[in-house]
Amino acid sequence: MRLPAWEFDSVYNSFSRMVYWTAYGALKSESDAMDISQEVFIRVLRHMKKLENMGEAQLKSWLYRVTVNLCVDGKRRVKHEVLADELPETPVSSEEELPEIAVMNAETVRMVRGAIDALPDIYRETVLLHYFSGMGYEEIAALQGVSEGTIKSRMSRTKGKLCETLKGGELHG
Amino acid sequence: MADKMDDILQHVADQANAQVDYEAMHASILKKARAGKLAVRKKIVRYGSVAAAVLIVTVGLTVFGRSLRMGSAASEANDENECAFYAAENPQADTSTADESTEERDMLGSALVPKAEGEDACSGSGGGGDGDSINDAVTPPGCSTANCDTLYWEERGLELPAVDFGESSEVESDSEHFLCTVTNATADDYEAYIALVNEMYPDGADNRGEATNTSEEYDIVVRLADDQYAVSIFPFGRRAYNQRAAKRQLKSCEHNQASLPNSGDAWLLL
Repeated sequence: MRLPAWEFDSVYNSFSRMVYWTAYGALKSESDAMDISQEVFIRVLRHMKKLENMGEAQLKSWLYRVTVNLCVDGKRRVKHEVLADELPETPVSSEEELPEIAVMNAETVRMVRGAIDALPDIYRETVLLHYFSGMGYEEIAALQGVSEGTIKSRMSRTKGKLCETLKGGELHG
Repeated sequence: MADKMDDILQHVADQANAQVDYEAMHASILKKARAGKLAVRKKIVRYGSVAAAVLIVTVGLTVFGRSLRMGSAASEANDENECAFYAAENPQADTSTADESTEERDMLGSALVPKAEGEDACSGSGGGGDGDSINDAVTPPGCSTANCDTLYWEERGLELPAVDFGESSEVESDSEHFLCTVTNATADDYEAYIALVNEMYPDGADNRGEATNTSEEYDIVVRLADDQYAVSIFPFGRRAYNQRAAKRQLKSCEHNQASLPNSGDAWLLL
């Protein structure tokens, strides 16, 4: 069965969030993420003939690799690459200590964003792809070339770390 | 805790996505893509024109160089022709040219031999089959020796005795007129030349056709005035005055040398 041909707008609407947050996860800068995203989609326009008949997974993988490669090049240029660290296993703490969404103010949101930015690269990228880009664990695992269990494990550790950060911030804020 | 943390993260993500202007990014991408295409076109126009100019110059130089080479080849061919003529006119000169390719020389000879009037191009000297054809080409009809040098009216195929007197001579001719002007000639030269003319054409007008290979009548005007000696040949009837009277005067001159004028015109009947 022949797949429907992609058009640029449909590619952009389907994957612009993924590209943007992947770039943001790598560079931790909104403006840099915006520049990288634009560069990625300019390449999409340039190679549209080759991309239009790709399957969704294949196209997603292509976009992810192009985005990561551009970010790596950008990092090399600005020389502020941060090596990935392993997060320690964080013990589960009480849920009641976390702020309620209804009462989260801008300061709390900024604090959460800061905590995400402070995560090691692979954890930050996983969080961004899952929550910010809306991708499932299976898709993230396929993109990163790891198992779904690995993604789940990373996500659990990330949540524990963020929980600690948020509780500490509230306590000290 | 995990569910609450999920909610918090999703809430933060939604707020973050709301702050990202994807529409503006989309417009910016299209704008940049158009600008990129325009830049490529400008490069094509800029470097294309340069490439076209280079191509035109290259083609021009190639054509110019080719024409130069053809010109030099033609010049070399002319040099060869001149050498061939020189060799023909100077048989004693460097004989090395005779050792050159017979075929090449035959080609030159056949190309250079002027066609004598009334002579078929394929007759005579055999169409340049040997080296003598060049000598034949420059020898006036009626000459039997290599050193024979006569006046020859090429347009009419008419021959007159050589002028070997005076300081210098100059010949001009066309289809209607033949004039040989000799400077510093004397009356004796004039008389001797008239005698030679009569010797060459002893039967006068009766043999004219055979000698000249033409059926026309000619008036040869020999003029001696102020040391200028002139021989003119005109087709009969082209003079404005009485041709017959002039011929009678010429006959009179032949039989009575004393009556030969020192200046004025005389006519020979051929």
